[in-house]
Order: sequence, then C-alpha cells, then structure tokens
Amino acid sequence: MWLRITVGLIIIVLISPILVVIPMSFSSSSFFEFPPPGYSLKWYASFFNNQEWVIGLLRSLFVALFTSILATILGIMASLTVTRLNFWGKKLFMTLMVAPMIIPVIITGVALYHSFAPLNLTNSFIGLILAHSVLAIPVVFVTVTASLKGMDRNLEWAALGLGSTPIGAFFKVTLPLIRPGVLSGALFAFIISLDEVVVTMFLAGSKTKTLPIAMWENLRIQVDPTMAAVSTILIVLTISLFVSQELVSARKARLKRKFQ
Amino acid sequence: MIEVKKEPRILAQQVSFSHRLARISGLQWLLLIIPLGYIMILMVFSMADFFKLSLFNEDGFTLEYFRHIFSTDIYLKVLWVTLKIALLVTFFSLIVAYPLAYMLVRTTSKLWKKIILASVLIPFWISLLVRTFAWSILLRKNGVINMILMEMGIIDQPLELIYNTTGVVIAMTHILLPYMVLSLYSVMEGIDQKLLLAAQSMGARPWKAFTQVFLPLSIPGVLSGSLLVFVMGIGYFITPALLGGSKTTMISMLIESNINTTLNWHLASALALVLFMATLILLFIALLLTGKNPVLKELE
Repeated sequence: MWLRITVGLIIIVLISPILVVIPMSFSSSSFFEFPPPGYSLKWYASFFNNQEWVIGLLRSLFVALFTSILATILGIMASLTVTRLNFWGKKLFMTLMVAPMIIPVIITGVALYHSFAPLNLTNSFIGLILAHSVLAIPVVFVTVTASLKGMDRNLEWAALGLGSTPIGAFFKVTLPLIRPGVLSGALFAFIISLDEVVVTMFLAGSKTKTLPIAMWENLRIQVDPTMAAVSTILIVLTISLFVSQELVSARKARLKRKFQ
Repeated sequence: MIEVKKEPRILAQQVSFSHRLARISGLQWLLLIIPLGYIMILMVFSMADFFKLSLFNEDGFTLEYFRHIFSTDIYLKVLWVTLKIALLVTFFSLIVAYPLAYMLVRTTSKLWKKIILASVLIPFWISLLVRTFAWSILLRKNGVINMILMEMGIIDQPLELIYNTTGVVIAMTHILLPYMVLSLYSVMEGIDQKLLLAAQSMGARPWKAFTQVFLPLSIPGVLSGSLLVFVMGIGYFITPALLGGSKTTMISMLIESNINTTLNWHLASALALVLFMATLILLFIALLLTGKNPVLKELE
C-alpha cells in the first residue's frame, strides 16, 4: 500500500514538469503564471512570426533527417560486423561503437570543434551532420544488434543455400526481418540530433543555428514565454513520433499473427 | 556418336551486380572498416589531438596546466562542487528509482507496469532543454512550487530553489533517473521472486524478507546504476549551466568558458582530460565490481 502511494507520487513528480509547460504555452500572460490568468494563442503566433525560431526548426529537421540516415547506415554496418564476423578485438570494437554515449558530450564537442575548425567544417551543415552522427551511432548500434541477435539466422542461410549472394540475402531477407529495430534506431537517432545542444553550440554558426541553439540562447539570456510554445511543439512532435512508431509495429505484429 | 552437351555460357552482362561483388573476397570487412574508421577519425583521433594540448605547448612537454588545476583554489573548488553534485544526484536518483523499479518487477498489474515505464521513458525522450526549461518554471521564486507551498501555508517566504545546488540537483535527478531505473530493473528482473515467498512462508515478515533477501540480491543493480548516473553526472553541462548559479560551476562549464570566453585551449584540454580520466576510471571500477563491461551491458 505504502509502496503504491510512494510510486504514485513519484510518477506525478516525473510527469508534472512536462504537464505544466503545456498550459503555460496557451497563457495570455507575459509572465509564467500558473494557472494562466487567461488563454490565448499569442505565443504560438510569436513563434511562427519569428524567423529565428521557424528557420531554426527547419534546419534542425534537415540535420536530424540526414543524421538519422547516416547513423542508421553506419550503425547497421557495425551491428552486422558484431553479429556476423569473427575477429580479434570484438569487445574493443563494441566498446568504441558505444563510447560516444558515455564520454561526456562536452569533450566530444570541444574535440570536434578543435578538429573541424581548420577543415572549415564549422558553421556548415555537413559538419553538424557528421558530428551528430557520432552521437547517434551508439543507439542505432544497440537497437539493431539486439534485433539481429533475436532473428532466426536459418532464414538467411536458406537464402544463401538457394543461391542468393550475401548482399542479396541481407536486403531481401535480413533487412525486412529486423525492420522494426532499424526503424526505432533511426527514430532515436533523429531525436538525438533534433535535441543536440552541446556539440552544436561549438559547431554551429549564424548560418546553421538550429532550434536547440536558439532555445539555449533564449534560456541563457532572457526566457520569454515563446519557449513554452516551442516546448509544447517539441513535446507533441516527440510523442507523436513514438506513438506512430508504436502503431506501425503493433500493426505489423497483428498482421504477422494473422498469417501464422 | 556421343552428343557433346555444350556448357551453357553465361554472358558477363547477365551476372547480376551483386553476384559479381560476391566474388571479391574480403568485401565483408568493409562492414568493420567503415564504421570503425568513422569513429576512429571523428572520435578517437580528434580527442587525442585535443588532449595533446594539455601536455604540450609552444615550449614542448609540460605539466604546467595540471599543476595549475590542482593548485589553484578556484579549480579545486570546481572539482569539489562537481563531485558533490554528482554524488547528491546519484543518491537521490537511487532513492527515487528503487521503489519504481521494485514496483515494476513486483506488480502483477499490466497497467501499473505500463504507467511506470511510460512515466520514466516519455520524459527521457523529450528534449533536454524542454525539461530544463520546465524545471526553471517550477522552481523559480514566483514559480509553481513556491506558489503551492505558500498557498498551503507551509512557508511564508518563497524558497530559493533555483540558481543554486538545490535546483541543479532536482533537475539533474529527474533527467538521469531513467538510467538508474533501467539499471535496477535489469538486475531485479533476474531475481527469483519465489525466494521472497519462501522467506515469508518460513515466517519472515514482508519487510524482513525484503531487507534480507531482495535488497542484497539487488546490490549489483544498485552499484552499476549508481556508477552510471555518477559518471553521467560529473560530465553534465546543460542543466547546471542553466539552473546553476555562480557557486555551482561544474567542470564541464569551466571547460566551455575556457574555450568560448578565455580562449585558453591548453587549460580547457587539461580539464577535459581530468574529466575523461575520471570517467574511464569509474567505468573500470564498474567493470571490476560487476565483472561485466558496463558500456556493453545492453548487448549481453
């Protein structure tokens, strides 16, 4: 009984920060009053009328899309290496592939800034995509490796035995089987890039200022209530991405059961 | 006459591209080389190149920057604050995560399980800046928490909850909590729940069964979760930079200000190397304690 009450309270504390932001974004007040004295859409208007926010969001989506593609390809390659090839130092290879997840991002950020600056890769989208991919590879690697380990390898061998080439077998048999894992890995990579601040802070310039950087500057100097509107947009975007992914995989599972 | 059957000849064009590729031996090693090269160049080499600045300057090899860090009061204080905040965050996230993970393995209700997992994982994937911003609204002087407490008559004066250690610890605990919950959960899931029943059937009260059977068995999860949260805590940047005050400068903020404000790359590199070594040593301790590579836990 006590456990349930404690856990219930903890859950409320965990969720409440997010729930408080949403009504704030519809507030008519210029201060963060709670509950809001009246409701209006003026902070959303302020978001869409400000070039910096809107262009920042578009840039972020652009970088996130390409990061997601690059990190997914590299992550799948690394996962195949780990599950299909045998070589000395596999543990070390795996550690390197997940290292960006555990090394403090500030170190990665400064180190990349240090090596990108002489190459003219700062203030460029290519630089951002390359850097974000480093941070996104680990999560793709972990997700895809898990689904490769969970699949039935006999299917792949059957394809090879029937005369398929390894490459053909991968695209026609393996990839469709691990698609849910690949999709969620790609989604995680997308979200990591969409939310990246620390590395971007060093690498982005005036022409490549992404939404998180605009938010960061806003929070650092003078928080204006438009932040609540931006936050709500990001919360809705993230949750709807996850829900649509859930729906797709649930539908897949239903279809699978039907055919068996 | 014996009819000689002619071998069907396959023209080169008819062989598909993937078959021709398959003839080249050793092609599969590209799967290893491409991602490895990517991480090596962008991560390992660029970090090594950056760390070189901490040991070498125009005059050659020097330990001047490390001596400076470990002999200046301000820097020692920053190291101390970093450790203190990381320890507090680890402690509080353990206290909060333990009941959540315990309930997660003990409850038979699917609904509870879903609610707990959702409340831990949804905030985890929502933008870090959004979560930090949300805490700044909740914790500020005329913010939601102070207002509620004043309305209930618990306090007369608003509490100082932000721009100090309290604010940083609260928000960082919220942000790093999922790591602790998942570490605890993965160990607790492996504990045979029948052991608790056995203890109780032999006369142990539920509380005693918990402290003498379940708690000791969950220690590996406590250790690995605490080390993970501590490691992530000492390198944290965004939340302390936004919610902390002048007295809560952490090592990562010092690195950033040395790059962007004072432009002292050598000192920044030395500080980063200290942080990096601390991270490596802690991960090594985790490896020794649990016998498993802490970084590869999810893959085994």
